[in-house]
Amino acid sequence: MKYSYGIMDDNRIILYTPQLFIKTNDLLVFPSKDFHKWHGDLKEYIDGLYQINSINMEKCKSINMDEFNLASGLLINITEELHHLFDPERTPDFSYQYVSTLDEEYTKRRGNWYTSDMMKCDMRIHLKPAINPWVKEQNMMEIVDHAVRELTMVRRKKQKKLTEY
Amino acid sequence: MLSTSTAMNFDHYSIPPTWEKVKVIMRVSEGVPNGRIAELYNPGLFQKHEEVIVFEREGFKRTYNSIREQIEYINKIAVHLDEGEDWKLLGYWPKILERIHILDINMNLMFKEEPVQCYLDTIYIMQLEVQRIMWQYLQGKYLYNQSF
Repeated sequence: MKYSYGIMDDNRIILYTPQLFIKTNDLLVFPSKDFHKWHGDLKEYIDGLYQINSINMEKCKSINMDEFNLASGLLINITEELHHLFDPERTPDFSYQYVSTLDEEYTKRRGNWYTSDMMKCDMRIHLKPAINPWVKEQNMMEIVDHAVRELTMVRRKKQKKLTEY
Repeated sequence: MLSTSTAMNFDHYSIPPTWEKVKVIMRVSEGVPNGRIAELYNPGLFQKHEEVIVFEREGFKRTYNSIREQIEYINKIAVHLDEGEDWKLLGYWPKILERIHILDINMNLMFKEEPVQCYLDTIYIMQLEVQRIMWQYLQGKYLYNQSF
């Protein structure tokens, strides 16, 4: 790729090798030290990726999920550096990358307190009662009591309405 | 005398004082060459007598986009991998390594002085295609709906 160093002088740049840019009309200019640092950072990340692979080769096993997550984390750093080159005010937004277990939302217990499994356990009767005539009568008396309670409530409501008017 | 000869010289390293990474704000400017000098669109960014590096925009764009494409490819794989599917990595990892290798080559390209062979090849083939189409057009035999 055609590149040249230059020095800034009086709002313009004096190029050290201008003969490379005879045919081009469009240049990109970076400060040299910062650009070398950026380049070095990216190379370090890529070296990290190669290291993950070399560790893998030593073990002679295939790569597992944890190492792959490490590699994808490094890739996130690389993308961040690439964005940073042209947008220095960008703040990295990691909110979609991971969720902290200490986050408030995730410490709250969500969902059903009484699950369907628990209900099945409760409803399942392990010792079935023997159904006598006494048990049948008890059942009927329960229904009658419930009906009496309901009817008295209805009567009271009707009396209230009459007394109001 | 012994102490000075055996002492390790750390002058050529630049170790930052803390472990925090110091974020450098990158300054970029576009420019136009004009003989020995390059005229900038944004000269106020750079300080007086600051050393700069000047790239040809097309070449830089090509390498930058190529790097982005490799990362997108790897990210696509990473997104579709579920938690318990380690066995899939057996097949995916060599492909991912290929892309990482291309990433590395692209990073090295930025400071390479020779032109890239694959770019020259594609430019040459494209020029031949354009010549062929122009010749067909001039003869009146150009097929507008033909797909290449």
